[in-house]
Amino acid sequence: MGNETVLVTGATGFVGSRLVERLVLGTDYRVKAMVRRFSGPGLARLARLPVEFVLADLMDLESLTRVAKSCDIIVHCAYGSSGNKTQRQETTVSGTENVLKAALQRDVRKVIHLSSSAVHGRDLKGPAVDESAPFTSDRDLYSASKIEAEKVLWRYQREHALPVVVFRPTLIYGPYGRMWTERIVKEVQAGAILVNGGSGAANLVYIDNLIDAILLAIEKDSGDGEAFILVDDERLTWQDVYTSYADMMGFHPPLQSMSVDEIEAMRKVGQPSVFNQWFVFPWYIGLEVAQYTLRPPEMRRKIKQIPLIRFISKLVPWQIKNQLKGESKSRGTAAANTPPPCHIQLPGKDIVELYTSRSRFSNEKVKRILGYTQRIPFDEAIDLTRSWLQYQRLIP
Amino acid sequence: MIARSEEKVRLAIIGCGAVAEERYLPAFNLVSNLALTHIVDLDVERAQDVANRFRIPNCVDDYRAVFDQVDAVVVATPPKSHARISIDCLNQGLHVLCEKPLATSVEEAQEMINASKQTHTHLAVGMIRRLSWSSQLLNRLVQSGMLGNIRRFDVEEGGEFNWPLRTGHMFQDSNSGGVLADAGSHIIDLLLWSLGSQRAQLVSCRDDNWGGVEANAIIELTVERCSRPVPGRVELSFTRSLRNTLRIYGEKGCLEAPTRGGPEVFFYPDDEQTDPVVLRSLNAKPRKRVEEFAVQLSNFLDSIVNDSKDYVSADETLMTISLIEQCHCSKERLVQSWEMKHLESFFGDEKNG
Repeated sequence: MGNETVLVTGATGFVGSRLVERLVLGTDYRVKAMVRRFSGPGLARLARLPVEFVLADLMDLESLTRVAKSCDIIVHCAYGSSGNKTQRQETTVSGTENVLKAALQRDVRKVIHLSSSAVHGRDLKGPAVDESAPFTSDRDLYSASKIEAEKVLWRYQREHALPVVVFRPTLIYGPYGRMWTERIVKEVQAGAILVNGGSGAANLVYIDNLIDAILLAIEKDSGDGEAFILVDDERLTWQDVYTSYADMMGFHPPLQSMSVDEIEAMRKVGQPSVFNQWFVFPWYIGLEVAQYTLRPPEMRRKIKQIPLIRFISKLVPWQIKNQLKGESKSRGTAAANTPPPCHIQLPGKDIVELYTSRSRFSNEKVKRILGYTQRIPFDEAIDLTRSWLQYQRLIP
Repeated sequence: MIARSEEKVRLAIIGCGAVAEERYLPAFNLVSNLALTHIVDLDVERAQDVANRFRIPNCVDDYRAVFDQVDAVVVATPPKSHARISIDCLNQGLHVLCEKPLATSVEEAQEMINASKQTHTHLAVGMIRRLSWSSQLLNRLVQSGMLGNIRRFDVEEGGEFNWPLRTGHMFQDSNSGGVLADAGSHIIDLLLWSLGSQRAQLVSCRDDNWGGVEANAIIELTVERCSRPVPGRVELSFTRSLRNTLRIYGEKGCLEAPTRGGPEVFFYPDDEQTDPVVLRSLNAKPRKRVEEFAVQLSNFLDSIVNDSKDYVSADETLMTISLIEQCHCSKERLVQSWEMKHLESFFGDEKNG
């Protein structure tokens, strides 16, 4: 099977890039990397390999059919990540249908589809959520369109006997990861807030562990017609995750714990969050005015006599208090040389919901049917991620 | 064939890719003594579209059709065709401004230079980075001797690649694509020019080319200056944001200039850890890259009209081409743990050497 040709859609994305690298450098499969255009940093990364680039667009069936010629397997990693809501939804759902049509026209042996554990929603029930959990859209576009794409896929399998394998990875992290790697690093650098002390369940999967499972599905037919949740074995909390990233950095503002109620109260008083960036500018103008007013200590004492201010003051993190006082030194001796923290951002509602869930996903099925075992444990994965972050100059 | 001074130089642009559309064509509008009469591209439909937008009268798919129609050409095709097209044009008596890298090998470049000499035509190279205020100032300051003896240098240029390519040549030609030939052409040229020397020796080059074209490279080299070797390193990337400055360390301090240009140069009297002194030419004003291309074109055209040489000549880029050629021959790889540690074949048969 090693001499077969694998077409990877979304080849310049996080999962697609690593899959192409692993296929080209570690197996005998021929690889066609599908891209929309000759640009972008993802392309520079892939061009280091002896890989064939093919130009096609998910919304253009003709182009897909052209590039699927002589392909034995399609791994469909692409989804709608740009454009307006309708365009993103269309690209994810109709794009998947186009991939399936092209696969049928070209007698492709198998289609492996990258879905997401988000199809099961965030309000999970039970200690170990498995693939039998119902589809639950959280009203967000990403999970809703992933659900619709899966429905199309299962219909094609039923109606056309097209072998498909679906992966539903949890939160993917590791080198080149944006959301669960770079974003967390930036959050920690700015002063991260741990929801409820970070006690929620962190259902993470390291990128190379996910790729191991995809390679197994390419190689073996035992997983055909199945959906697999992919999550690492370790039962991590968000505190474990944030602490691991924080440990990489040397100086950083301390991680702060806040309850959901505190976060909600903060949100009501107008602290800017990742999801309302438009508020940042007026916030800083307000901060300037407040700094000017509050700099004299006697003025601070007078204002603190107002009960409402006293209450709000308890909720305000120390970095913001320092900013209001016009002080720049961080707390503690170890952080004496740290630049003043700023841009502390409250976690958005989606993140709060995710970070407080205690449910865990199960990877029993992928182990049982595909014979998958996790090769890279969390500690090693974090070490490798640290090396990458240093190479990228994102941490010292 | 040289145009008289009162006449406009008739010009064709060969190659209608990103650099033509984003840089040269907007720059043509800022230069007075030229008439852009032809645009040439194998994709004639695309060329016609661009010709319509920029009001260029003629559009052809074969550069040989412009031989008796123009005085000079700008060659902005993928690098592997630079030598063939330029030599053909030079042999027809046309002056050539060729985009960087001039050629993919010293041998090719030498053939181009020979053609230029034999036909008494101008062969200029588009080393646009030399034209920024900061590069000009750095060059002047280093040549003035303000650093004393030069001890070492350190250059970094890197960012996520986002140039709007029309074709995949940058990622498909192992000799003319990749970060070494692209950013490296500019950076090594800028370094050698700033140090005022075209004598250099490659010590080592490590890159991350695994059978395609490299996206990252770390070069160590020595540049001979005042009969003494000055060591240093050059780091280039298409995937990472690097410092994007050129630092030259001397016995009296360190000068630092942005590799992508700007109005200022920084001087560190002790080392780069201290607060720098900002140096700025009195005439320096913020200038767009298109305006720098206009200056380059204007200088080239003036040289044709006045039979002078106010451009970067092909000879001046030979050492840069040679160093890049040697780098391409290097077999040393940048091995990263996160990338390679678990690459041993998942199914047992090792493929990667």
